[in-house]
Amino acid sequence: MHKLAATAILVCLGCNNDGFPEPPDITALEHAYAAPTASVNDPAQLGSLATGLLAIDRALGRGDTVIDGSAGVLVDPGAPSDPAKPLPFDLRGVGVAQITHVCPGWAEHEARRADLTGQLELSVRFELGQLVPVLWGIADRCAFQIEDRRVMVDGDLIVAKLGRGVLFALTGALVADQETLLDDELDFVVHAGGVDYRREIDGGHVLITIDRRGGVIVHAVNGDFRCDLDRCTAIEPGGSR
Amino acid sequence: MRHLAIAATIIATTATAQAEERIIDGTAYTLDPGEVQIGFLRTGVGLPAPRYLSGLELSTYSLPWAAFLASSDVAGIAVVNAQLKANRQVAPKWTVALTVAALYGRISSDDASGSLLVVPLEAHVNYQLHRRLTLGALLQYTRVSAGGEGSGSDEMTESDRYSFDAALRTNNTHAGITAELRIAGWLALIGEARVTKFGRIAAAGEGTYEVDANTTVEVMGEASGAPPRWGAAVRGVLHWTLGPVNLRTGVSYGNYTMPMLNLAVPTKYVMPTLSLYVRL
Repeated sequence: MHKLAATAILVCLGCNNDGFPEPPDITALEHAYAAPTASVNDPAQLGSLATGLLAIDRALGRGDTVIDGSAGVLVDPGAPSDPAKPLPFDLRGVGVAQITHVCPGWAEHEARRADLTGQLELSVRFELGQLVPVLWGIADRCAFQIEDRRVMVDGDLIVAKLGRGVLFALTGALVADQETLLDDELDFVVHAGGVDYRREIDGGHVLITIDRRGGVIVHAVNGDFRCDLDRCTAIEPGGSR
Repeated sequence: MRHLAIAATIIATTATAQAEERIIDGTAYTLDPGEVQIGFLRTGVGLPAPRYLSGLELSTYSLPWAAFLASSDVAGIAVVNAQLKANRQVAPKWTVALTVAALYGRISSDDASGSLLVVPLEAHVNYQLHRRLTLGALLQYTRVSAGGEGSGSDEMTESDRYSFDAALRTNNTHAGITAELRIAGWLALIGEARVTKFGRIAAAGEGTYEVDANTTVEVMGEASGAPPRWGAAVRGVLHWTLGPVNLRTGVSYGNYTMPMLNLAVPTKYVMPTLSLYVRL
């Protein structure tokens, strides 16, 4: 006989709650990455903030690794359905895919096993055959290597399509070469031009772009600032962001 | 010429003998106890009825059995079906009947198996308005459920393994009226009109796919859909009786209802009707 699971799902058809997990609400992050909300009064302070981000950015391979590795599916999850074209059936459908991936580990790991090298457990929901472009789940002491850096991620993860980029949000720990780069919350958006980070400052937040060549631009309400490790300078209006 | 006259006499005599025979397909009437009907579509036998019933009949659709026997050398295929129809004459011209049925089919192989269960319930009422004219009404509800499960490995990359488990369910409800005009002892004209309320088709399933040694994807989902809410069909049938041989020829237009499954097709089209059986 067929497993009870499928039958149980049938029993629940018509329920208001479909019984499948919902992705986390990322509306607040969407708004946050739409525009900065704080003004910059002390550009030198922002330079030091960007310094911390550069270490994280290097540890993550400047975004190339994450976007090439796990988020490609979100960049183009399929052509959206044409809302003007009626379906021949009154069709409803919903489901979830759960992906379990044993992390590759570091060079010194003797074997690739979940209990040694950690694993990713991610979920993605689909409705009417289309992916809802939000992956969420946990990184359970997930160890991997970027170039010669030994990186470990442990915590809750969200990977979502955001505009033309992919949003990553981590609540937990990020360790690179045994140095804890993060033990709190981090979110960033990887896009063709580089990586955008969000940083809270007095009065709201700014967005910090680290481009593919390592250049840093701070976007604030009162303008954009190009930074190096010592100082930031305002970009003239009309300069590229 | 003389032979033709003799043949005509025999046919006329036989047809007259069948003039009082009730048509049982799609009506509230049943075979008499001991009477047998053998047909390509359906085969049945009349049973002794309990005191509170007027008739009792056990029948089965023939085609699934034929398919079953034809595939007897293929392991893992089984199809069984049966119908039980009981009627009661509630007034001199009024007869009501209730039919319960079930069809179960299963197919299995080393890697996968599937099953189908169809449970129709039918209620008929017939009123003999005139010696040559009988009116009827029917109400029919059918529930269909199917499922399958399987597991195996990808032949190309033996390490990739998959498993799945799925179920599907739907139902149809029909209501209809019929009129049977006995033109002659050997010929009846039957008209039928029915409306169908389509039920939702609900499906659910889950599957696991081992992408590689380190990555597993498990998918769970459900879907349901329904065609336009209502369907309709009309049908005209000529029922020929020649001794024990009965032939039904006709044509229908509308949402065709599949025999056995009692499921109506959402699209409307013209469909011929042909049925042949022997009643002994």
